[in-house]
Amino acid sequence: MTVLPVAVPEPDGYRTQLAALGTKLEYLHPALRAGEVARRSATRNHPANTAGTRAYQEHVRIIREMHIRHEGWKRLLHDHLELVCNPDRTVAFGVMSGDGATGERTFPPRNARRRGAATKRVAEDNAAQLELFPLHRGNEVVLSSEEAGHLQVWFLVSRRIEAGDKVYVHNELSLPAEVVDGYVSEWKRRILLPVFEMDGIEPPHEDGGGEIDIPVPFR
Amino acid sequence: MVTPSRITLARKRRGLTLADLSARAGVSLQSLSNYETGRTAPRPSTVRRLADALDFPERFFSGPDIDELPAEGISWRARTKTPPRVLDSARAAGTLAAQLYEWIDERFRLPEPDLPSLGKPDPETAAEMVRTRWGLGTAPAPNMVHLLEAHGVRVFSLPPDSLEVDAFAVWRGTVPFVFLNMLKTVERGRFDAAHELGHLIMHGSGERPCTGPGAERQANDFASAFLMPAASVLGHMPAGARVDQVLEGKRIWKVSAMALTYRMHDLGLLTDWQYRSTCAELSARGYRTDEPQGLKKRETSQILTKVFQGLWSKGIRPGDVADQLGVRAEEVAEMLFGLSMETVTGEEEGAGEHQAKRSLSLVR
Repeated sequence: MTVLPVAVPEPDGYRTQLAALGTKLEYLHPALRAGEVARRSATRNHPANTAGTRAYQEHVRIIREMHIRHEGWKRLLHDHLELVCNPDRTVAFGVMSGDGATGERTFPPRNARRRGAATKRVAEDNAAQLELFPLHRGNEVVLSSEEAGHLQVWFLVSRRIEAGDKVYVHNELSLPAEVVDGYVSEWKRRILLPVFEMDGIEPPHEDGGGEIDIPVPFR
Repeated sequence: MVTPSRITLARKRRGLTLADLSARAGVSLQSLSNYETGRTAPRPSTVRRLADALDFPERFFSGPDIDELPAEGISWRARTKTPPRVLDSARAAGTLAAQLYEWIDERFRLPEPDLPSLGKPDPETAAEMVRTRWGLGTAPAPNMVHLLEAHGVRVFSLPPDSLEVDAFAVWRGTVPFVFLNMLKTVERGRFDAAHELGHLIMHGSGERPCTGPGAERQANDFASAFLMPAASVLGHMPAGARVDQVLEGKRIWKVSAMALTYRMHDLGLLTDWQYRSTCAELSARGYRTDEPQGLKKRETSQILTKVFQGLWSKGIRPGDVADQLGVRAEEVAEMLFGLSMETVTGEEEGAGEHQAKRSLSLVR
């Protein structure tokens, strides 16, 4: 079976924008998938927050693994934030769960759960930076004392919606600019990404597995 | 008069070497060797000692010569480390089952063998051709034991002392035999049956070797394609399915979660990365060696059930059959999928499951 290329409209040319940050959708969506898989390992007897916690843990692990393995990024624990950072130390990615506006062009999303002071601090740094694309400063030697100030911390914001047998994860890679009372109130940039879908099973309609009757007469 | 080959057969069935039996029966190694080669015949008192040591009725040793199942043509589904002693024992059990089959064949009309010999096509194609020939289309396969029996394969269960062997198949002349282990999960039992069918079909003509890693892989690919036709899996399973969807989907084809995962990867529904992570997750949940919440109803022989019901209606008891074959009743019972001697007396379908369990408790 041959796979035919299908042209899919790309919102805001997200591929170009992702490439400018040194990433691609193929690194981000596996993290969402792994999160979905991990979420389902929680049973009813696990503590209530287990599914969400496991999903978060896998989001972080896979987003790190993908960038470390394919792009030579480094794991970064920056001011209590679990991140992965590019070799230039200009861009880092973390994960966050968003509200219903996640992935929607019209409204800015908020994080679903209150974030701590560290998120507020990176947002302030994000906001203070000039509108420079990190790729343009590729050869620049960045001083470590200023590094924190130059580091852009982007978040893969995701929101999952279950509909019947299917799961839709709305998602975007976005750069927070302001955090008020633990919630992102303003985004400096948002890269809207295609909804990550996990299909359901098509139930069988054939009459398979019918009974076989074998006559066994005496000779 | 003692038949030498019967001493050898009984000894192999018990998994004993000449030295083992010599010690156990208190017969010198030299004499024993002479009895088995037919150079000398044992005295009646010695036959009694041998019979006791081998746990076979004395009359077994005086029957006509028995044709052993051919050693070369057997495709074993067993670990490569399995000792020859264990394989010999399973083969001897198969030979006894073939005796039972002949006894039945004289009295009942059984389905004629209807297996194509496909020495050349690749496993996927071969599986498709058999499905077409048997009119299965792309629907999930029904009860695999019944399906094999309906197409002339004689299916028996392996005795519980052959645990190390999962299954084996062999052509005896024009009659195909399949022997299945009763202690695997129902899903794996189905896969084993399809695997052995693959051997019979692809490796029966001698165009390809019936043993070795290559033959095993071909039989596995055949089983995978036979139980999970490409069109069916592609039609029902989503690409990149989650573990819980695999667990739901496996019910459609009545296969193990691992088998479906493998098949989905094979068909490109799971990427390498997804395949690996799904396997890891299934492994962590215990699906590598077991099938949690799997099928409960074991697939058992329909022909053997009907045969013993028919015999019962004529006043012939299973014990009588064992007597005529010169073996213990338990020996026969072990070939019958745990349909215990009482079960085959009359109860219809449904008796198989708990009877299977009951007979399992007799093991060891």
